[in-house]
Amino acid sequence: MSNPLREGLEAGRVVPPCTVVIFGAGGDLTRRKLMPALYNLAVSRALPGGFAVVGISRGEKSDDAFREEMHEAVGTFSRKKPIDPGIWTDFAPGLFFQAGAFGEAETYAKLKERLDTIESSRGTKGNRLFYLAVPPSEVRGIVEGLRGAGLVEKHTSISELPFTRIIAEKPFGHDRASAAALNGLLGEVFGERQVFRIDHYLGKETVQNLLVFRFANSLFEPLWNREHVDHVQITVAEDIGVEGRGRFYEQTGALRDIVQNHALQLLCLTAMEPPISLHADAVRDEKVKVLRSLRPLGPRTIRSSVVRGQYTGGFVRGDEVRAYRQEPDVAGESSTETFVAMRVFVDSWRWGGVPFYVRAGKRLNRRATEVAIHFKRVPHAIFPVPDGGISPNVLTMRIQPDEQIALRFTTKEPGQNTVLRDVAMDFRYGSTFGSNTPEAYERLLLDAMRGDATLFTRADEAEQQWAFVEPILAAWQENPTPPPMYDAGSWGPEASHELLAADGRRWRKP
Amino acid sequence: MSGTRIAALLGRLEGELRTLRDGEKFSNKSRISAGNLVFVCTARSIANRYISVVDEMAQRFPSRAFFVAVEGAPTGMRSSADSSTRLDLLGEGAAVRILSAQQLEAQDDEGPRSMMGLAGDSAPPPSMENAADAGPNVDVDGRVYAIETDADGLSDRVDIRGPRAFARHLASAVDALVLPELPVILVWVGAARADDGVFQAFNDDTKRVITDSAYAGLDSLLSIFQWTQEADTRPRLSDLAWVRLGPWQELTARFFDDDRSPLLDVLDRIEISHAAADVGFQPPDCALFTAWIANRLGATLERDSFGYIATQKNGRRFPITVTPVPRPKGVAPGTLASVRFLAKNSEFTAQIKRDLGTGRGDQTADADLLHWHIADGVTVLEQTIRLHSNKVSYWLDRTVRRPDEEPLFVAVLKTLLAMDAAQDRAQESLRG
Repeated sequence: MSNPLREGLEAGRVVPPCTVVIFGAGGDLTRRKLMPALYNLAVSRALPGGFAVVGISRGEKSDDAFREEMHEAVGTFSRKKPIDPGIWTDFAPGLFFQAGAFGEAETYAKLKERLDTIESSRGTKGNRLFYLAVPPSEVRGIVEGLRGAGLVEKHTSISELPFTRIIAEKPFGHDRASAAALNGLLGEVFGERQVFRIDHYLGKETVQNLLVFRFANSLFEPLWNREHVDHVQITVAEDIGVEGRGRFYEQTGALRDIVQNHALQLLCLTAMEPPISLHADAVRDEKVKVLRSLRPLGPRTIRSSVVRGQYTGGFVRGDEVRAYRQEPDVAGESSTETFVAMRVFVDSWRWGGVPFYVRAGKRLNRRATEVAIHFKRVPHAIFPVPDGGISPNVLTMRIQPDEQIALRFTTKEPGQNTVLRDVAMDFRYGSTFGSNTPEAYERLLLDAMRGDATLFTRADEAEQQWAFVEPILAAWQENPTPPPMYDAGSWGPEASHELLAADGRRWRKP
Repeated sequence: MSGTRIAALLGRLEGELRTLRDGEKFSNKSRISAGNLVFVCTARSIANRYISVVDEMAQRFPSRAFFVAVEGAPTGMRSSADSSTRLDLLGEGAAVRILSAQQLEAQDDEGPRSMMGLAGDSAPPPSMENAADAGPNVDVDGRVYAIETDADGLSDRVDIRGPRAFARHLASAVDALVLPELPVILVWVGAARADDGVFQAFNDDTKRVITDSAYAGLDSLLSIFQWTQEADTRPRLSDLAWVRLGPWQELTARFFDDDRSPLLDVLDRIEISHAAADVGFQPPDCALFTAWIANRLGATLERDSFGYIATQKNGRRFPITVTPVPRPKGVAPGTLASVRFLAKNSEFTAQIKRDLGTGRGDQTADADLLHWHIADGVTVLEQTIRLHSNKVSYWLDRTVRRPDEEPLFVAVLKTLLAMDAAQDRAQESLRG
């Protein structure tokens, strides 16, 4: 029987009581993102009455010591500061710690015992959400441990109670085979509807707004095709380096770290057809269609359409920064790419012949993530203008750091003569809605508790993403020459600019 | 008053607004506006305090805000000690500073985050009271101020003041200055009556009217509601007291989530308490909360000496008691203090209790810590919840960002009207 008091309320969707079990509770992700997100949900009254968190990692510590650590982490990283003592006093008793090695059966036997006690005292009704905030190498051990201890029951429907769900952090494998193996392992233990593969980009407001912008405004969608769009530029630029994660980055590189997931997700949301509804599978079906429509890259195309690079020393935001190869835990002769640019085609009726240029990199000129739709030029220039005619319109959706939508168009400069000038209509989210929007992890954790997988990556989606980038990885492996260098603080190697120049285009400067 | 004087005033205000929008002083500010907010205040005692609310709201919500002070109270308007006590609590801890043009110049280098500046040449008196004291010959006056928004944008505030007899002129002046293409939202400050000419003058072209029945009273809310329902062209109605109930409704609904909703069919009693108000003042928070419960249960309501009696569709009747509790200093009269549900012969109890008197002095005038508690004989669940700051500007911001019309609110007001109508019929038949 549904609860009649819920109907018509602002917060319509119910979050069921549950225990969140975090594997890797001693790690950075827990401190910087997960615990602040859970605390912020408590502040905004979004957590259910029955709620608990169990953190698991190696090394003994008491519940109180764990609470103290989390208090410090929330105080440092929460967007809602200072900590509200009234809320913390209520939130902290729901935090528990369990020491254990992820590969040992004993860890899970103890966890089961602990969960039984906590569930009865905290009223979480046996609902469990396991969060894998651990390196990929630990996933198998944890999943098998959970299964071995009888902590998971396989469900086919999202509405089965009590629920058991699992959130897996990226990367989902390091190539298609390992992604398929990981999916296979998860599939043995969990139903697909119990698995939530997190790509935190999808929790960002502006990324979600891509769908709203396209499908809630009648103005743009009719222009959103090969008839009107000349090309699309997707940029995921960071000004930071590897920030002490040299060992991780040496095994990963920009293609695996950013392009395979974040950039391809942005491409999918930009290129997808309207879903029949906002149901999780309806949206993800459309994204998978885009991934399947991506023109496969053969060895020759890779040479002509994909550029990689690695940063050398340079200046970023006024500071002199060192080269990638001088970063800690990075090989002196490393050939890992810190920059990728590529020309991609979506072979579909809508996008036939329209290039999508994608670039991602570290130590670039500035931090900027955006999708820019470059429209075609007017068919005939009636105004006498130099420099190749009137600039085409550009619609830019900026995802970070400042969420905004801007439209560039041409106007007449006031005066006796016909002088044309480009101007931008600029809509900044912060200016209208305020800047204190929920963090991506808040939205995603809440969605996982509610069982809404719309903003999570499905198994076939993850594999399809790997299927697209794998030939590039293979080509680079076959030809392990060092990537071209670019100065830190620039916009990437010269070859990246040549990639667009060959098509008579150039990169935007975000 | 001559048309020339209004035209001159409008000309000056338009010029000042242009200076603000196009001048160099604020050239680095975003000019995005999300709407026109028209605050109309008919009592001078309220006006001075409310200006800080307008400014805080304009800081939160990029807009053109009008503050219209209509002087001279209408006849027959209710004015209780409670409303003035409540109004005394307005604008606590205002976060904006008012700067004269000279001060603005002096502070240019500092780049203050939140400031208001005069667009004209001379420094104005900051309060409407002072403006009103400008002299008996000034029938209508106006000023323009700039308000930096929280997100580095720019709102503006237009103050217009004039006597009640010229309400239509004032409304027309506002009409001429609203930003085109953007909705006009009327915020009625203080008590209102739908048949009041001033109220109607300012509702000619508004999309929405916002009241606060906690100040204006339930009768005022219901009368305006009935007026808005009479034609589709009338504005939609929102009420701050209703929006403030949101967290209470959410937490109450939480009592009956999961498998507990059947308990709603076996309720024994609901107990509501509120911070003591004047004798005879029916706290709208309690009435709206009660009507919401009745509406969602499909129950009818009738008043009783202790509060209400609800009759459910299955014929089950249960009392809803409404009792006052002592009101600590700083807490507004009528503030909802607790709600308690008892069901299944009291085997199930669920309660939300506000810690009256424990508000954070720097951020809220009212206590805002709630204790949520549920006991069903097996499990006891408890949670502590912090409500948001109880500033009027916060709730206004929340209200403006909600849909123009909320079907649930409409249904709840209809429940209250139906109760009153049934009561009237019963009295008629007794008399007959």
